[in-house]
Amino acid sequence: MAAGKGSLSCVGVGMMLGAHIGARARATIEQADVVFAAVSDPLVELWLQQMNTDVRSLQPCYAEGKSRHDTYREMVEAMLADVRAGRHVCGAFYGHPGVFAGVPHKAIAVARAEGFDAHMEPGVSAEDCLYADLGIDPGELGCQHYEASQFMFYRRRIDPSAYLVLWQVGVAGDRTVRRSSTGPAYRRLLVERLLEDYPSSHRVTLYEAATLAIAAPRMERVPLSRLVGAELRMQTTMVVPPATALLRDEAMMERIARLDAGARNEEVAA
Amino acid sequence: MSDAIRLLERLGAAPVRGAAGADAIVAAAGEMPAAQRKALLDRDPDALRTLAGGRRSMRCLIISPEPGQTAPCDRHRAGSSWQG
Repeated sequence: MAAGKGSLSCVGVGMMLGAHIGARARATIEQADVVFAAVSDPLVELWLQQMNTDVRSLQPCYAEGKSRHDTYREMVEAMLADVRAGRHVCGAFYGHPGVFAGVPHKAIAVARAEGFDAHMEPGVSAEDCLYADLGIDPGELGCQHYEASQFMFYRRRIDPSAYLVLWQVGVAGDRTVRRSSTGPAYRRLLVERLLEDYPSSHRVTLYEAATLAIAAPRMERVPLSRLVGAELRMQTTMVVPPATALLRDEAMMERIARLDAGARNEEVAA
Repeated sequence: MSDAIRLLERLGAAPVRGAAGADAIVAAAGEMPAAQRKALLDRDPDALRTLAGGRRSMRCLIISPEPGQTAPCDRHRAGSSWQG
């Protein structure tokens, strides 16, 4: 593309290499002046390098002991610097660029605030894979999603008749945003919180989407009583199935019935 | 290594289910270093990553638990799958 007024497109490449990338996301990567890659698998990074001659990994923004907020700002600034230089910039993120990933949202917001065209192209997220692999339809019984630490830090009203999905359980309880994992003591607190709404025998699923076609997703079922000792990685998501039946709101049903009856009477009168 | 990446891309896009279908695609692939072919057939992503010369350490973004903030998290690669 010719240099002119810069632009930013943040696209998702999906979870599995070669399986999930959309036509528009791929074309955006291929046609960009420069691609900044924030992916989780080195093979995916190499894959992106085959799509564009100027793919720059955002991994060097990280460093041991470095403030992750600084890292975050550097990622945004790296992309924006090229936008300001008049280039068409693509940020390629694994999964969906707007789901559990703040950098794309921030970069787009900054670009737009500075008058540049900025766009997000959705991708297949871990949540999408979860529904497919575990056979869950969130519309059937409802589905609550929380970041695991936020779930612990704040009082939430859990509905045990719906699915509960906790993300980033591997770092549940981490207040420093510096740890790569938290230990059994933190998980024990998470379990204590869950036991307010679920029995200890309740079986949850530890899920990890497959990122390569030669790998299988992790779908390990364990009772809550064994969660403290389970292997929880950064990419592990915990799915808590409903523990109680739906409770019908009879008062609401009665009010709706009265409305229905009134509507029928109006139809008859007309 | 680009052959293996291309093959992974092809496997990802192929309407195959189960090991047999994937193995057939790998077996039918053209010339490929034996180590790469073995890693593919063994379903060994870590070996493949090593052979590819990819980064040894990959970190991922996570959302900050505190509203209004977003903090990237880091993690040295230890597993074969990530999500976001």
